[in-house]
Amino acid sequence: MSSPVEQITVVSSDGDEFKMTVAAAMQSEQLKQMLTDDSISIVKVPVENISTEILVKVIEYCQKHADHEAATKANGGGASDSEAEELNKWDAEFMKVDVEDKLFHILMAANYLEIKGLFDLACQTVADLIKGKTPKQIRKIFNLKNDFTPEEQERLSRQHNCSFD
Amino acid sequence: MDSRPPYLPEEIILNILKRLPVESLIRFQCVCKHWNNLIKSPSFIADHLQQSSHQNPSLLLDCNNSCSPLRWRLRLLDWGMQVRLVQKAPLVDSFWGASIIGSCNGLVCVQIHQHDKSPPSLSLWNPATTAVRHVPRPRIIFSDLDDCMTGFGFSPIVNDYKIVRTYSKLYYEVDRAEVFSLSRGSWKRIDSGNLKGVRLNSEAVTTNGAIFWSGVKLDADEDGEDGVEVIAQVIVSFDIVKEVFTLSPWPDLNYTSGDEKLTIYGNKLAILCDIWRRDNERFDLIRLWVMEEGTCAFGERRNWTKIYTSPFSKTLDPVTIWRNQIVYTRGGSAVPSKKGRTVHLMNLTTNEVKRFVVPYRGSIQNIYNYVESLVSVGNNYIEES
Repeated sequence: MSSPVEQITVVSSDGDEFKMTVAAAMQSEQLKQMLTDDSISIVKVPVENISTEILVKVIEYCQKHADHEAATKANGGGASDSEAEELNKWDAEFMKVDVEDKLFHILMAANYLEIKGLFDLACQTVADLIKGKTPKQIRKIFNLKNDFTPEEQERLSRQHNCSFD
Repeated sequence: MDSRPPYLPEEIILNILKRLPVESLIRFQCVCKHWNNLIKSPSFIADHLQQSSHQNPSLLLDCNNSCSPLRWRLRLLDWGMQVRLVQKAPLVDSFWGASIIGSCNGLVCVQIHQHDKSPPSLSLWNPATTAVRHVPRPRIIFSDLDDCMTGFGFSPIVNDYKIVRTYSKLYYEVDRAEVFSLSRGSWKRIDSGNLKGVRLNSEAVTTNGAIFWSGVKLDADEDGEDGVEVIAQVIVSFDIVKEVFTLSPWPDLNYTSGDEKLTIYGNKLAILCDIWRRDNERFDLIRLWVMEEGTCAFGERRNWTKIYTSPFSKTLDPVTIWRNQIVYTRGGSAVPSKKGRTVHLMNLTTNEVKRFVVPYRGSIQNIYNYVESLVSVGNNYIEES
């Protein structure tokens, strides 16, 4: 019989170790599975494809949302409108990253660790970022090649009134 | 860190794309072949529609000015309560004007009025993609003494959009009906026997694979010379899959004077009552009744539940329900302000009232629930304006 766990340690791909409270870890479906499975006694969880820089951000998100959930429960149920709005504002600030790539890495990490809130938030942030861009800019961001023939390009340009530039 | 973006699996790309407005997605069809195929795929179009319904349910406002073509009358209200003019509405070159039959999943059915000897023609239009499809002429012969009523709806069971039309001699009972299927691309005559003695007298509303109208049961005297007498109010429903009409009695809602109008609340048929007198007292309030679910035998009475009564207020004209709010205008002698017409939204849970102004001083003909989508108007005869 293992003693109740209060913290777990996650290890980034760079080898750095970070402590997470159980409440924060439960934000991740993956970590939650491990924590609720009595047959596994957790010491350290390696997250091989998440770098230190990204892992720090992810843990920050999990902790904030775990704290918010706990506070809501203590108040007996639903979050008030102002509390929900405050969290939304925090989320919006949180997603303001300096480099676009960081956004994608957070997205991938949220997907890997199955943190639904962070995953949806990151997808929405990327969507808002790209919605006004041109096809050329999109190709650069997603590393895609324009594989249309010149005839196809011409037909599409006419149909959709868009430029390939 | 590697400066190149990480490879994103397709499911993640789809999760991002489904959140984009239609305008962006149409442009992104030009990114590469793979994205072109993704964006056109029926499963993505369905996911995008679901996301759009959740993220940005909107209102389409038809501002009536019989001199103005359709493209100058239509406005959209989005989730952020911003009003804007609808761009690129179909060109309606009819002197007699056009009206909207209804909107489903981002498609709008437009009816274009003709001179007396022809029934109104129809078009299916997706305002977001700007695609328009002219519906072929119905088969039923129409004379200048005839009248017709039209409904538009969708059934997820057969994944098809249909337009149903009933015909009658003006003011008389329905005697013919036909239905157009978007996937079939043609009209089909259907049995209207269940509507014998019934005249439809409202615009259509649709939900859950059915189209509804209010109607009256007529009692024509034998020689027909004294006209027809109304003996009862009914609800006419049309099953989109089975293509069959059913009647059920109008519920007795127990008040003296008011107007009743069919609407949709939470995917169920509902009646919005605008009550302006009870006993001898003049007042104005709105009540909302919802029809309970379940199948009923033909003619059987349904159960209705009163789910809302508004606070007392001055002359209200309820129009429809949107995002748990009653959409209404101030009727009677209300005049538009310099900025335009005010539309009010009364929250059914909190009674809080919000307002927005439509920069238009004419009257508002009708307001429809609308959602942006990539749904196609059909494979054939697509004209993109």
